Amino acid sequence: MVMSIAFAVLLVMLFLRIPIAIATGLVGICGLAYYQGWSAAFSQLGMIGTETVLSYEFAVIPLFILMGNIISRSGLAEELYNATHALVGHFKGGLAITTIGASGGFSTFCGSSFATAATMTRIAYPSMKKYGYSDGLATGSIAAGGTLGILIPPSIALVFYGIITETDIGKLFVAGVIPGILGVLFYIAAVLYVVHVKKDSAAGSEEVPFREKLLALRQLWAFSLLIILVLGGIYFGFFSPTEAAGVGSVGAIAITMIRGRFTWKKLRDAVEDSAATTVALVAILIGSLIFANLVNVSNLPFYIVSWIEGLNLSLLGVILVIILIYFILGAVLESISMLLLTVPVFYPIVSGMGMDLIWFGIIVVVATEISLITPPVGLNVFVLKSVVPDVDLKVIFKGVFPFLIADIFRLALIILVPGLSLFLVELM
Amino acid sequence: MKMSFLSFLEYLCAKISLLALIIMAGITFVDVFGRVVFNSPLGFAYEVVGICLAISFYAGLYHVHKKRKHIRIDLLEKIFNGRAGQFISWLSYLVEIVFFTALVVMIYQQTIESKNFGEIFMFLGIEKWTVLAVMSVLSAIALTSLLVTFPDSPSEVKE
Amino acid sequence: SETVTLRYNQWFPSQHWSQAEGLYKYFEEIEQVTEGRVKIQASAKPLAPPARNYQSVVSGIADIAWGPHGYNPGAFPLTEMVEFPFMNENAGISSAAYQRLFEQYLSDAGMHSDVHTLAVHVTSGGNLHMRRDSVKTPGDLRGKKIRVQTNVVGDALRTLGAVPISGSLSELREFLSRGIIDGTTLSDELLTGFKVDNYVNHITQIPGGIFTNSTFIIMNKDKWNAISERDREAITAISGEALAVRMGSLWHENDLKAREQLKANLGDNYIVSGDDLNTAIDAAFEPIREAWLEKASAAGLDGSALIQFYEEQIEALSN
Ligand code: NA
Ligand code: NA
Repeated sequence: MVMSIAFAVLLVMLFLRIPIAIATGLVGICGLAYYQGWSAAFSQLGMIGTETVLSYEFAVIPLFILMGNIISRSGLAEELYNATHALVGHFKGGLAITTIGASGGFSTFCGSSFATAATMTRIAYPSMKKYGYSDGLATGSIAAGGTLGILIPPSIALVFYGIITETDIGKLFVAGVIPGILGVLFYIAAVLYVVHVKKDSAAGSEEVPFREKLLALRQLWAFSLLIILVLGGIYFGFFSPTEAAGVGSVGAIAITMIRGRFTWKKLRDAVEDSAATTVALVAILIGSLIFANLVNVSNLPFYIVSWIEGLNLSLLGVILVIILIYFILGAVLESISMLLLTVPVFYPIVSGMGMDLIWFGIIVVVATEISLITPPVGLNVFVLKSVVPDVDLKVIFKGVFPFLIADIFRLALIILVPGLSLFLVELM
Repeated sequence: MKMSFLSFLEYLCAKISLLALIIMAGITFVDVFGRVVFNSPLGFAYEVVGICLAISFYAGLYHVHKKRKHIRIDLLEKIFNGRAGQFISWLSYLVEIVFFTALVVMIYQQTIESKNFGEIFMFLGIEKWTVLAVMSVLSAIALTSLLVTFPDSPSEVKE
Repeated sequence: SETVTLRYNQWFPSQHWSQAEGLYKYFEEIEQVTEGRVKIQASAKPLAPPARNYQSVVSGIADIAWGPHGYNPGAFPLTEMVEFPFMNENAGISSAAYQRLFEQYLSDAGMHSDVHTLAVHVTSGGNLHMRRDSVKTPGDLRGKKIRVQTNVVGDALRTLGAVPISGSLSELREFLSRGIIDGTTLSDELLTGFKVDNYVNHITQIPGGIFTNSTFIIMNKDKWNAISERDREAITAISGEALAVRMGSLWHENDLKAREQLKANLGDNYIVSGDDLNTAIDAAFEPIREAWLEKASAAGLDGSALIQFYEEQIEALSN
């Protein structure tokens, strides 16, 4: 009962545009006060407000954000786009495919979906407009492509999941590689389907000569090197994810310098941006952890566990129920707070049924990823809308629909074939 | 005079936040480099990185308060125009003040508790309450930023 | 009369024998001796981070907590005494001695004054677990990166020329598997209990431990006082030394099991430290002992007398 009120108040506060961090935090404190008294409730604010930030593990968040921000300012996104364009731009729907491919490439540096979507909107939208792509396909491919940012490592979502469940973050990153590549392939399939069904939604651009294709690809050597260093370092055990993020940030500065793209202003802008993003994310983390404590103290997990046990489902059934809950919550909640609120409840259930927590992490993050593009609250769609305000929200959501279907197919595949997530991890 | 003092605080907080972030990246890099290449890691890297995150967060809070950059859900934005919008902005603003005031007080209390408790950082050897004290000062400065940034009309609030 | 339900801060894996066979059994007995008036419910996930375990009970976030003092370096100077090497061959016996020491001296000196103490106990003594290199002589430790849990053993290892690296238990696996450390000081049962034994190829057993973890089982004061006097007496009867022995003995049993298993797996690579190494370790701890004697006298205690009392109790209980 108390928890139903808490969730209802939380939703109302969120809709009233109260910042997510504050809404979750305040509802958490008031709920805790109901169970434990005000003094204990406020103590938790102080404790979480200090311990959460005084932590080496959480440093992975700002460091990966910093790496992504430095790289964004080095012109990589454009180069990725140009290189992909040189390869596939001349096909029908080629620019949309280019957008997906470049988003996937950019995701290997950028841990956040919003940043991926925002960056690609600026680069990809104008050229798709120029070649007469329909708004639906143009914005749909950008919004969907952006979701790749949180599954393809590095990924802030996987970091949060790893911290909550005490699963190896490095292994989670490795597990995300194949499902991420699958995401790219399924999205490309969605583009091909759209241009097949709606012939007027896209055209091809001029084919680029072979020599120029090679040149465009050659520009990418330095970035490929960095990504091999960062992900390879994690994979082969040279360093932990936090360390990889630190090495990656310094490496990104070095590469920008070597290529003559470095200015102090760019560095300052990148650090400033990273600091602001970190504050906003860590604030949400603090609020969500307080709310998670309320969920914990209210014994809700035990009720949910006994409810799910009462359903007498197989593991597959339980996973489907959990995904259904994610789809419902994902309609209204923001991805990271959804993850922070739900994972502490769900992971003991599936882990008790013998499920591999790395595999579950990938399923959870893909389900969360989908919520970024579903109405009414689809944050990637909002990001896009803020960059291209002329396009109607309805058009974007319609354009996203084929990609949503692709996501559901991919999710089904990941659930049915655990090896897609675990194969590389087992090789580690 | 008052404004110039505030802008000095803003400048200071921004610099501290950025510096802490850079040190965090630098220390991590040097630690890994030292370990992989010279077999001599920095024992204290672990603790310094955590402290940097704490300092960077509470120093950076000033800017995020001022620019009202906390992440919120802009779903019913269109409905909240005019007077209703104004009202909701103020409501949100007051709720934010309540929350962050409580946070400042509670961090201060953690500082006092930690001082009585007598905890130290294992490798740095410094007392933990000193770092908590810095955090509580920074969070208090950030709170003043929130207090002097009244909500504008909702259309301006949005970036 | 009224039922009191107490919230236990479950931060350690609930399936671990220290919880399932140790504390949960104790909690069940509390329910029995109070005829169901006092119940204990474990939290679904930690209510506070491990470093805030103790304080979460002080401020009422959790009602009952179990955990090592060492997660709060500096906060419990008096407990450092039982962390010294060579005094813990059988955790059951050392735990009983420790509880007596606490009741006789430490409690009056103000340790744990802000909570109700159900028991203090020690866990099994730590050995040197190395990834690649065997440690036979003091020189073998030079330059080795050793993950430690407390600053007491960290300081000693630094004196021996090693590079101590701090890190929680949850990070240990990552540290070991990635080669971030060359080894760790750990009890045998934790090595197998946390399933990190496949990364360790050489073990040097230090009889009585190179260090020992001091651990508390505590309850929030207000919650304790809310329990009727009759029930408090019933709980006290199964707490204190009885509880300390229950936990310590469980540790010793499981440590012996783990030792057999490790010896079977490692064969000749499982060795017992020789006099050379023991003397060097003892010497490395000398300044730490000196420093501790000062901390004890600052608390108004005669440190040497305490050490003597502790050793006498262990001696008496061993026979
Ligand atoms: Na990514
Ligand atoms: Na959504």
